Amino acid sequence: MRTTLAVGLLGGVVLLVAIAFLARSWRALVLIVPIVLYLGVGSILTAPAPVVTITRTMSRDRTAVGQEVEVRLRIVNEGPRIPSLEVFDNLPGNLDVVKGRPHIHLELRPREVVEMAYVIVPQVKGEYEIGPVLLRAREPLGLRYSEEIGYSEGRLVVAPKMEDVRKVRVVPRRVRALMGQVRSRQLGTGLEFFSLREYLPGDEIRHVNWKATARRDRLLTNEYEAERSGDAILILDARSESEVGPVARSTTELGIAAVVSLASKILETRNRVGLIVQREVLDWVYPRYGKKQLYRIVDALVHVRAGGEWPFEHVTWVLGRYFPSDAQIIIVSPLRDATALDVIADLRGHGFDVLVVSPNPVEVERAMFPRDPYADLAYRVLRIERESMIQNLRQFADVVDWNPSEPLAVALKGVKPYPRRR
Amino acid sequence: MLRGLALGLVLLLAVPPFLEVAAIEHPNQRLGAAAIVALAVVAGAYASVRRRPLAARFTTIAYGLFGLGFALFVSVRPVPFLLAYVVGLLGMNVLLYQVAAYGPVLAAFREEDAIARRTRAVALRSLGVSGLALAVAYGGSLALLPLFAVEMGSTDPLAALGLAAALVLLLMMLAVLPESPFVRERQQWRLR
Repeated sequence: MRTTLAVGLLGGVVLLVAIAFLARSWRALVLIVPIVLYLGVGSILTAPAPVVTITRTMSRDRTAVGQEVEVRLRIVNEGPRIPSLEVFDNLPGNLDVVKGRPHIHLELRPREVVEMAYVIVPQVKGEYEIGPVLLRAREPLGLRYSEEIGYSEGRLVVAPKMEDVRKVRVVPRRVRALMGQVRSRQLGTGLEFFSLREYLPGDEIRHVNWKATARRDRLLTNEYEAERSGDAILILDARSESEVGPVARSTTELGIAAVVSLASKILETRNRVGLIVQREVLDWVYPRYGKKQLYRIVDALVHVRAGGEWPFEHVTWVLGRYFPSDAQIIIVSPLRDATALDVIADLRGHGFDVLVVSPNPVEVERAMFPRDPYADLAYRVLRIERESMIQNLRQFADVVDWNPSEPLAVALKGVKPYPRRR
Repeated sequence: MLRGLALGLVLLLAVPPFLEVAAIEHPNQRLGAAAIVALAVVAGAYASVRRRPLAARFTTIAYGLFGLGFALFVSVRPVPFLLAYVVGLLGMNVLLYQVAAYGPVLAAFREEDAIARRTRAVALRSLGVSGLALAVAYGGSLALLPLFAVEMGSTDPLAALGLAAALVLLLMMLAVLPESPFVRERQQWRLR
């Protein structure tokens, strides 16, 4: 194919010929000679169609946001010598190249093997198709090129970033009969001391409280608080109207990071965790235990993109029919509309314990624009409105107003652990 | 460095048009022409700095109009000078194209490794071959100059127009040829 340079030069020749003949000037006609000679030299040099095989290897096909992945391309020339081969590996957006380059120029001799490598860091979770590779052979004068596409795609699944919330006490407040790590305010086997009672035959000797026995002069046994497991349902508000900010730092992406972190933390303490995502469709993961459940939740979140205009009330309907009624509800929403408030009030009315983790959309938006006194004033008003709304909401639920410039763990520090009395 | 070279060439080639424009007697016409050439310089500078070779089309046309047009028909400069200027414009466009093709790739290399060295070698070779081709074009033009000194051909405007149309047609046919005739011959020879 001819390049724009070749087309421009041919246009210049045509123009000069026309001028020369219209002006009847041999001097003007002479001026086409260097251009025609250049085009002539260019016609001798060729840009052979690249005949190469490409093999792609990636250091991992599943990763998390912010983790490095090395991509290697092995290029084998199966055809004649290519004086200038441009290799361009087509990368989707949100993948930053931190080392090496996916775009190079090479000279390839017949049967020559070249390896190119680069390192990418995904900025947003999702499933990415890397490739195909565009191969463009040029002749050195820049007049012609030939293109081929090397179909060697790679698939990369990027999980959301997980924040460290190990020290945060977010646990289900109502427990089930099964053993777990949540203190239940009931007697049973556990590690937390609950009370003393008279020794009864059959009590384990190691539970005898020897100090109290010595003081009272009769055998006394320690009683412990039973540790049980509970259910937590995480609800992610990923509707279009809840999306604020650039993709990598949007309220939806922040919400997803919060959901994964909380799910990991709650599953770690042997509780069941379920997930409901409200986006274009309402999809959910039923509560289960263990690490596999975390993978299920991450898989469900990997493909989540903000979308859909459904009212938030549908969540109540799904919760009421398909999920345990004594589950702890954790809603992750930027609380941008009035329906979210109604839903939370409604859930409390149904007897659910509700915790709201709200990535602050005002702060997300503020971070996008430079400092300006008028904008500062406007955002101050918005902050006051939001604080007032959250204050109203606190009569129905615990609300964590998360400023995304701080770690999630800092925001969750204020969450009161069990026991809670209403 | 490539961008600096292209920018330098754009500024250097602006000198003849400015000299031609400075010779215009009417002040308003002179000012208007100078403004167009200045605008062309800006477009050329943009093309070289932002690696947009298409933006240099305007620069080429403006330089050609004021540099070549005036030198051909007003100040009547010698033909070797005109040829040198045409080769200069050609070189500017070739350099801008090469800057756009290789510049971003070369600029993106943060560390010196085998791939970076190979890419640089390919870019340098392309520039070298282009420079050689430009030298051949200029030298060949000077060599062919005596052929054009012969007073021959028709002076009839209609005949001239017909001849021009035929030449244009021939060039366009050459332009749409899928491959170079030399290459096809070589391939046939290999098959035999």
